[in-house]
Amino acid sequence: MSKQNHPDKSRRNFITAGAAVATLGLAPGVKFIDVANAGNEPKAVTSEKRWGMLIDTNKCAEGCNDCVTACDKEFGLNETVDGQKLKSRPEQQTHYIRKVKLKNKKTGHTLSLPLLCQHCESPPCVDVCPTGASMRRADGIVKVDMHTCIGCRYCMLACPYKARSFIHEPIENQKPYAPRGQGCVESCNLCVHRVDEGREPACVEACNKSNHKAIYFGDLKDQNSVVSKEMKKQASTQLRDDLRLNTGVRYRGI
Amino acid sequence: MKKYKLLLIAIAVLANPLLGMAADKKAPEKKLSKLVDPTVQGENCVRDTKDMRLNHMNYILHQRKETTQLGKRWPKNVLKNNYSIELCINCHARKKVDNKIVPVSIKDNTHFCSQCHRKVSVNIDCFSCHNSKPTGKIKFIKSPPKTAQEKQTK
Repeated sequence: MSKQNHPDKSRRNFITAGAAVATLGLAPGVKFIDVANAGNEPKAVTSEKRWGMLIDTNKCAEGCNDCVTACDKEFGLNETVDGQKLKSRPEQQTHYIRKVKLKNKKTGHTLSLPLLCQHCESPPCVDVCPTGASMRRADGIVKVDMHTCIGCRYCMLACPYKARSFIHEPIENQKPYAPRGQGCVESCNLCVHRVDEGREPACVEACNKSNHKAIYFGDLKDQNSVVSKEMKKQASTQLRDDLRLNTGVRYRGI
Repeated sequence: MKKYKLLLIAIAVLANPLLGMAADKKAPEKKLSKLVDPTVQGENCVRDTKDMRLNHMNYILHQRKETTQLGKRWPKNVLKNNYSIELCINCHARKKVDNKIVPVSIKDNTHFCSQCHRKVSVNIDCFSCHNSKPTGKIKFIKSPPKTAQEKQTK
């Protein structure tokens, strides 16, 4: 064999050793936060649960606005900064939940119902989001991660229920559990801070308080939860079920 | 060649802690500690103070992803390694005025965060959404209870 077929191996060894040294040099700078946090780390939510609601339109009273005011109060929606008037028009202002009145033109029968984010299993708002800010948590709660929201409002167009709002004005004194800011899209998040604590959403609480008891809340996957039991009793409908979104919020009496 | 290899590795292993300390920790730590106003301070932060001064942004970023996307909620009474921004603000965003401790907004130059961030001209976006004023009760963190492991090492 000629010398040309065997290149100088000592050079190759030197380079390998150099690479090893470089790796060792990097190692102490790398920090494994997971390891440091291992002591008291809470558990992530899983798909073993799916939070949902059943709204009984027969019980929902016309003219009652308690769920909406409770929601506004919980999240501090449409509050003014330093006593200045809001510049945005009422239709631009944030609504997580709103009361809708339906009228059958032929029979004249009217219905009143609260409309909020339907927490779909396959949400169109999540499909269209270019940044991944519009998201569905493993336990079925659809919400906006405002850290990554760029305010393009594509999700507002995609939502068939008009459930999302854009924040037009600067906000101060946000609630510590519900941070929100100008330039982001927001919507009902099923009071995620309350649900994680084991409490029920603000609108449900308000509805029960006013003694209408039109909203049932609970885990749809748990057969013994209040919602599941109520759904078993009578027929319930999804709004726009032709879209096959498998909504987490169902209605009775529509 | 083998000798070279061993020598290189030996140098790397020996010099590493020294280099790490010099480049990574000492210099910025000293500069930063001068900036912070010590009038309103607890004994210790949720983690070692020096470490927090240098790495708080990484810890906060890590926990925000876990909380918003995975739904991991750190209990509020656990302070050790809890990087919730609500907790940060609750302790740090206060100052003494006429012997009274009052909440401070980010607009104020003496806000805990803006003291350093103005100096090093790093623009933080946290408070366009989060409240920069404490909303909870005043509570100062005393040094968090040490775990059995830490006691052994120290």
